[in-house]
Amino acid sequence: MWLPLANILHRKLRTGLSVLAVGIGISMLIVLVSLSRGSIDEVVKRWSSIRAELWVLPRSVDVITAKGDYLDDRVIQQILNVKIDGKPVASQVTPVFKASMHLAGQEQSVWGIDPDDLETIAGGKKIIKGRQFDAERKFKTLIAQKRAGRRDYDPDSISKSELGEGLELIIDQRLAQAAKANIGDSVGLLGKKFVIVGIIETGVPARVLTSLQTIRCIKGVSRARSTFYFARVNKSIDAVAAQEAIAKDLPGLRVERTGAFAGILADSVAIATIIPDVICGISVVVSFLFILLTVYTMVLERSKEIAILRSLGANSGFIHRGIISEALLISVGGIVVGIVLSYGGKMLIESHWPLLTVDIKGQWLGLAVVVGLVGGVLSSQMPAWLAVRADPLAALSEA
Amino acid sequence: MSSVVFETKGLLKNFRVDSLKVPVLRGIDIQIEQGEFVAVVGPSGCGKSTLLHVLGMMCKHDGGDFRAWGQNVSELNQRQRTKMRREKIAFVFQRFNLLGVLSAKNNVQMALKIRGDHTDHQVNQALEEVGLAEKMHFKPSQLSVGEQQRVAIARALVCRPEVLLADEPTGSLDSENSKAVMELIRGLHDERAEQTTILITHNRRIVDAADRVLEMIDGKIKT
Ligand SMILES: Nc1ncnc2c1ncn2[C@@H]1O[C@H](COP(=O)(O)OP(=O)(O)OP(=O)(O)O)[C@@H](O)[C@H]1O
Ligand SMILES: [Mg+2]
Repeated sequence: MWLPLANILHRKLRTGLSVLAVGIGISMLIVLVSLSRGSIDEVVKRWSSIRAELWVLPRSVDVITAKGDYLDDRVIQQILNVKIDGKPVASQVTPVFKASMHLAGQEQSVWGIDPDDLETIAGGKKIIKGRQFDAERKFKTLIAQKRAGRRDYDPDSISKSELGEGLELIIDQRLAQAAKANIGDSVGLLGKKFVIVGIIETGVPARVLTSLQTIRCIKGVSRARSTFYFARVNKSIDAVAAQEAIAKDLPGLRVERTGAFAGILADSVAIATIIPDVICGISVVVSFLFILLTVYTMVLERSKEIAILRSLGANSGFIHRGIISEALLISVGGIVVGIVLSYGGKMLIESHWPLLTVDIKGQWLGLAVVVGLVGGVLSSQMPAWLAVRADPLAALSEA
Repeated sequence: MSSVVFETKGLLKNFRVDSLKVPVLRGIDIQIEQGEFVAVVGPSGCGKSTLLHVLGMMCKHDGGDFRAWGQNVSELNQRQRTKMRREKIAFVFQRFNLLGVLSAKNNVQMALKIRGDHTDHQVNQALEEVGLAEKMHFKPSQLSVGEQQRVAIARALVCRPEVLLADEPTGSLDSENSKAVMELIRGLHDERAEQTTILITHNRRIVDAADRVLEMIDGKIKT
């Protein structure tokens, strides 16, 4: 048998513990990276359903919480008026009024949209159970009547029973499963009881969708205001050119490409990836200190073996390689254990917190393999150096 | 005309104990020729093992002249000395010094592996020569002391070294095993015309079997 393998098998418990320690470090790395990156990717994927190229928001708004000023819906017309060479750049502008609610154990963002804009926002995702909110446009019509063409109206003039017609929302399938919610259940939002009237396929940008008119009414917004807008760019116009044209004509607005949300989100939640990355780093370092300690004790207790190899004519390189091979064997074992633990961790996390996404990608597994092997080689350098330096004579005459 | 394997003149070796310099070899003059079977005898602590380690280039000498195969060993660096040991020299120790985690076969094979030779049949042949072909998969702990020493001899001789350095090879064995091991070493020496054997012993019978006896006392060769 190969000497390094024989050696690590000789001390099974110690080897097992080292392999486990490295495995835990490696699996922390895989799970945390897959969790932080997977969660961002999942949001980005949902955003890709939006059938509009541009995202228009007030300069002051925070892109993640969407807290900040509201825009007056007059900007819709202003955006539609922006032209390049006499041609309007946008063909359609869709307002969104954002709120949030607590459901399935975490904060969910709620998008209030016009019932007629569902297609644009949900990008063809189908309602698989129940129906849309305000399906018959009763509440939308009611508000239009109250407004009667004026810019302002008194939200307090809506009676409780009239408002009741608007208290409907739909949620996506993943949230429905996570919250064990069903059609007809009522849920609290902005201090009111809303009824879940429909469940939509997973993949819509906000897991909870409700009526723009309802949210505004509850918030007591008398004039049509929104958190942000999506603008669909005219087919003949390049989206970047359109983005620049709108930003130039309407300097009070921030205009982003909808597709660039991944980058914006990643930048804004850098903290959400930095913290897991730091934890990964620490756990990886600790697990390699474990390899170092294991290999170090092996070298200490094996001065005799090293002396024997010397007497057989082994050079420093041979002894060095032997020690590194032992460290690498532990690393490889740790990598295998780490990958297995990662899938276990993924199952555990996703069953406990169904809305978290642990997306174990080949690239993260690759990263773990590289980190494991490099760590194994590095952590064995010091013990290997000691082994090479050891005086063989003293050990040879020992009993 | 036989050629000289080792030649020393005024060979010195000190050990350092704390800051104290302890002379162990105090001017050794020897000449060992190829094919000789030399026994080294002397009282405990006189420096026999140290001499063997210096000859086997396991450690450096501190003074005097030491030539191996005509080369001045002082001029060789550690790598070159290791290479010379690997290619020409093999050890057998009193305490066998087998690798405990490996089988008898793997222990013998290790000597070849270190030389970059991964073949198998020489290993089997060497174990047959020492009469242990049947037990080649046993670990040292599963072998008797006599058998362990025979494995060590197989390991030393599998590479057909020019020089065998044996440090009290029968020192841990009872008389029966001693006799068997001794006959083995002498027999294998005789089979290989080129092989030089230098052997430390307290055993009268071995001394009688040697071509020449070097008597050491207090770090010197008695003349
Ligand atoms: N590594 C060492 N450091 C310090 N002193 C040493 C070392 N090795 C040997 N010595 C000393 O050198 C002297 C000679 O030792 P050596 O082992 O060569 O004797 P020996 O003739 O082989 O004895 P024995 O017959 O008991 O094996 C001893 O006094 C011993 O204490
Ligand atoms: Mg001795």
